Amino acid sequence: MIRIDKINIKEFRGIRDLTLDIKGDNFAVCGPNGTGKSGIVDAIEFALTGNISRLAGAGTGGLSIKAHGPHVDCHNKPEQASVTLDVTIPSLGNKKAQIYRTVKSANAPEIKPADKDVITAFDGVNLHPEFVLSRRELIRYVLSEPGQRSKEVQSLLRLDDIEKLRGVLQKIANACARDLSGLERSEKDSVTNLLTALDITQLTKKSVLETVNPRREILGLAPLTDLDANASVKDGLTTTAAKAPGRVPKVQATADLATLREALQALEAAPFKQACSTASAKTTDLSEQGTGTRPILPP
Amino acid sequence: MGSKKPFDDTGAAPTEVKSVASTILTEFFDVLEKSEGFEDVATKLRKVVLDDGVFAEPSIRVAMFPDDS
Repeated sequence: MIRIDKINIKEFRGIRDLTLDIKGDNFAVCGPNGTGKSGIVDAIEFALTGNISRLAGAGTGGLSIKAHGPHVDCHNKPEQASVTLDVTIPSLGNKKAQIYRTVKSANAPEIKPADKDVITAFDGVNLHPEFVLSRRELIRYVLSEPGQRSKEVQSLLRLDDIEKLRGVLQKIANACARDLSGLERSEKDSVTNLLTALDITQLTKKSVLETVNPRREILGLAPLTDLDANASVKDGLTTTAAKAPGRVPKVQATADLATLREALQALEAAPFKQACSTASAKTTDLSEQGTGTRPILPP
Repeated sequence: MGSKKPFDDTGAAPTEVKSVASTILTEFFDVLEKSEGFEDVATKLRKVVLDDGVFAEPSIRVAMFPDDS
């Protein structure tokens, strides 16, 4: 927290030159419409953050600090539009400090003294731009539909980052939910297949190891001592893994099919059938000779 | 208000001041870090989101599922 001791506003918004010596107290500003009450709030916000929230956000297209920050009679002289705050910082032992900012150098305020702790204190205020709530923001919150109110709170508290992260996490969660049913089915099938292959009824580390290790011993493999995510019951087993079939050129395949077709036709031809019949008859003769029903003649 | 006051009137040195969003995210990651099985994820997410200021889905996915990358 910082306490404002004095405000000096020059050529800023609707104010030509104004100094308020408020000595760190609370204060209220009252006056007729158009006399610059909101300009004072804008000036405090601008001095501390370099921004005017009334000129940013929805419905403010075309407005900018550079064009609309300076007084209308000084709109081409942004260097003359300035705000100076003299403040007291209680957390630093009531240290006095000053911040000066012009519209021309809105992102480069002059801070005196430029001590690290003072700069840190001003940076802290800059991180909380929600310290300024404009009438428009308050009215928009009050009038918002209940379903939109959470968005208005986010807007007031500048919670864009929360919403961004929430959106990404929700998107990832939806994608995971979509994949989950398929993965669960796959897991169930795998468990069923493993139980069948091992001929066990329950999938526990103990039952799997007790079943697998005797089989591994038969194969001359060392027993498994543990089953973790990376363990495989086939560890150490050299297998001739089936290679994926290579690509066959179409020309080669056509030629092979033609050769096969010719061979099949040859099997259907009369000479081949005759040869088969002869071979069959000779086989029968040999068989009968073997049983002793006919004498074995010398060749 | 919470017990951590960024500034107080005691004259003590100022603590680190964070935006409301950063404070909420820090609290979220603190809780996540204490949840069983989420310690590593919380640490990685904290680095990506708070330290690096990245909110892109690919980076968040890598932090959450490093084995998929």
